[in-house]
Amino acid sequence: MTGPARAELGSSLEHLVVGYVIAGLVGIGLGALLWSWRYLRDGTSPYIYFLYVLPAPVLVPAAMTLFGIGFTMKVVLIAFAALWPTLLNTLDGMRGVDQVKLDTSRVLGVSPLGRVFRVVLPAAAPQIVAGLRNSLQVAIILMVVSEWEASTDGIGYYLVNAQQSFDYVGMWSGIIVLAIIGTLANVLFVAVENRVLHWHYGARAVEGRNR
Amino acid sequence: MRSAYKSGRYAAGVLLAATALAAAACSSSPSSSSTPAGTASGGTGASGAVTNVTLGYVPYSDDASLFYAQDSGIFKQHGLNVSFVPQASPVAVEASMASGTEQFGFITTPVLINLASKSGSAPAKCVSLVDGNQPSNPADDSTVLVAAKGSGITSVKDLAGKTVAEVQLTSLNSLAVSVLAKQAGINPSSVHQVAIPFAQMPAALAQGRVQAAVIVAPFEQTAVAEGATVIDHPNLLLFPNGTLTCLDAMSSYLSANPAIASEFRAAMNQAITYSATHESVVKQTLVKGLSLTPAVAASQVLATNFSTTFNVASIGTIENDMKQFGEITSEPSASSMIWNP
Amino acid sequence: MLRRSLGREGLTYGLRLVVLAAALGLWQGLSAAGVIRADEFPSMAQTATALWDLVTQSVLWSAVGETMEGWAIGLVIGVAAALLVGTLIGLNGFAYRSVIGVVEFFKAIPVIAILPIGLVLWGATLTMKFALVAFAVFWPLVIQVCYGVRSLDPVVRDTTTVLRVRGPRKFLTVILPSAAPFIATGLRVAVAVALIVDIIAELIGGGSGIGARILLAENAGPSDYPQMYAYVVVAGVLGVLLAGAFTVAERYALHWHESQRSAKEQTLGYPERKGLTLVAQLSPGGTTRPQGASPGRPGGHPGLAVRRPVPRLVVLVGRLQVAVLPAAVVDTEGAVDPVGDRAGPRRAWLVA
Repeated sequence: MTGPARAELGSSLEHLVVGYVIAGLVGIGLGALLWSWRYLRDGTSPYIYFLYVLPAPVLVPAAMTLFGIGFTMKVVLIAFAALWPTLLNTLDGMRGVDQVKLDTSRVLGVSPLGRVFRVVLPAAAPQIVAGLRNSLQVAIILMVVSEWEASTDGIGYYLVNAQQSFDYVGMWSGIIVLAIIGTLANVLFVAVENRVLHWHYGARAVEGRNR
Repeated sequence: MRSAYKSGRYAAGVLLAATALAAAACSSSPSSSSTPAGTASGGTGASGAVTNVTLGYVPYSDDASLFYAQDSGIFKQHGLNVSFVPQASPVAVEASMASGTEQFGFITTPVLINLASKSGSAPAKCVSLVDGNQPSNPADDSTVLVAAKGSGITSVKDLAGKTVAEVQLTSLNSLAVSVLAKQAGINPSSVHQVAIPFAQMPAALAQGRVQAAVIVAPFEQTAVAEGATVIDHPNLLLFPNGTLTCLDAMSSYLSANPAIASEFRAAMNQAITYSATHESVVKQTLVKGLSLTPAVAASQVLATNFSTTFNVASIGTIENDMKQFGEITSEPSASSMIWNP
Repeated sequence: MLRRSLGREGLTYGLRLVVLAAALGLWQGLSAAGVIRADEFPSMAQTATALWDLVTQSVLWSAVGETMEGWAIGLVIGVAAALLVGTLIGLNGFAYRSVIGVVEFFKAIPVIAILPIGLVLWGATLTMKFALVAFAVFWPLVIQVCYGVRSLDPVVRDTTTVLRVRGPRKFLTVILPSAAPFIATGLRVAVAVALIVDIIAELIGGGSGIGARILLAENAGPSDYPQMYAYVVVAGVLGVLLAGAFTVAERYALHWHESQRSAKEQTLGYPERKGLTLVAQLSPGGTTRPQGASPGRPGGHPGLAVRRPVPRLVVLVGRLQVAVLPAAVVDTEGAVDPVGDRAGPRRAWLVA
């Protein structure tokens, strides 16, 4: 039953992966940048939050205008929407870093770039990962929405087509496929997270036991 | 205990924003949507009592007769007060009718056929035409296949491998492109069809994102002004005098309110007949209905032959085409989609 | 000190104005230069004019009202259900283990997949909107509430056992206040998510409200694009205002919790004057100090000193500002502190 829906997945997932990776890299990078320059951060913070809260699907027409109706538009849309949770979480995580650690590393002569990569980012890692997880959910939603209009393939295209031709069976199969994708993505993410943050969880467990 | 009081305050504080805003929302002016009064009450129009009904429509020029019927009081004479809800597509109108927030709605024949075919029996039936059937004179037809400037397309045959824009992929327009492609001898699936709203088609054509489009007035004028060329009149070629659109209602509503439906049909037929001889007057309703200037409203082409009889055979033709291209698997009888009291 | 604090505040506000002016100017410049086609994207001037016109017409406010209806009803339903279910699950270990898999599964379903079902069931109505909002809000919040209820500090838990506090009294006086920051964090995210889902439901499903207006304007053609983007701006601003209002409510409700006290208060040891604290927390300088501020170091400069006369304009602007960055996201200090107990207070995780 999910056959036709699954066949449409290939291009959708491609857009998702590319868009998500871009969002993750840009989000963390921009977050680090904003953390470093206080004035930049203070000056732009309301606008960043504005863009975070803005529902990204309203920007589909604008994206179509600027980037056409193909691969670029979808990837840009997914990346743009998925950027903000990662950015905000990176920023918040980095702000929560212990000042003592920062001072110590500065005293020990670690360069500013080294401080970012070797002290602040690892310290902020759990929160960055929480942000990335949020971004993944947003990216999946945008993956579907970007194919709602002006698309020729993809799971979103399949879903909207089924809905418009009252093909309820097709609609349900599309929904089930999406639910499975969401769950699999989540499971995959948690597996990677446990691997990458194993040092953090181990230490927290120890801390918890000793309390 | 003090802390219990505080946690209570926490709860109150948290819900404060939600409730205050909900109160503000509820006190704001009501929306233009559903006045679902008079659904199952079956009020008889002729007795002088006016029944309120809601009608969902897709804004385009051929709604002029419909607007006229309400503005001039024809509906009122038949005991109806119709409020209009603009929606983006016939599918959305159908969803609203199915949920009961609208009683009548605009629908295109392929959507009607899809619904009937997928549901077994026709859950919605046509009550009246919108403003007539497809005209057979090109000067009266407003749905055209245009090619973008510089695309090099001069006939349907050149569409192979190109991208064509239509308003919806399960619409008459996309079906027409497939049929025309097949008739021209090219493989219909080599023509890439994408769904773009009418309003965005001129820009898409001008930017070269699509090489052709099936477009209607008034957007056709914009596209042509930007250099697009008219290739064909698909509806004219394939379905002359055909019933391509209608105003419908759910079968359950129709069996519960036959009197209202009769009055609705009579009112619309009256408006359509009047429109045949008074086009310029009727077109002025578009000023308010579509927010056009009087000059633009007067220049609109009403794509109709002002007939008031359904062309059941054309519905059958469209069904055949849809079956041929795999859009439906079963073909319910065409006459079952028209309401007969 | 006042002049320095005023300078810092003034500089930030000034910077924000400059950034806004630069962005708007860039937009207008691109439109005027033709880089952005006039028939595809309106110019900044056109959008601003349309926005101004809308503000003075009732159609904007009724659209906002319709959106808020769906948002509020969906939020109340989702939050109430999540509080109830989350607490029940959190209190009972067996329930937790059996239900958590299901909850995680439903949480992973993208809300956009539920939209077609909602359309089929309810059409483009208010019911569809608030059902979708409630669905989207419920699952993450359940997990968050559950986590909050379960995260009772072992010391506190042992103390309540020793003091023989049991049953409803334990729940109301110990568990609920302890879970409050987690719940508050979850609610903060729920408020934003609810609005986003509401507008998406209107945009794609139809119905009435801001999203529906955007859809109609989009379908009406380039002449309506200024209006369409004016509505887009309204949508974003609405979200910012709602989140800010919620943050204010949260700080008021949770003022007793240590995570709400400003860093300065921690080092001073006594609470600052309430009103200024609130303003200070809203202003950019307020909570920028990292939690690990060690005692002996000035614990952060809230931007407005305590016992000084403050120019009214600064206070007014501060009150008008919404707390932005912390409002959006996880509130946590995730770093492992090898030194041991942290100097700062514990704040809430968001279990994403």
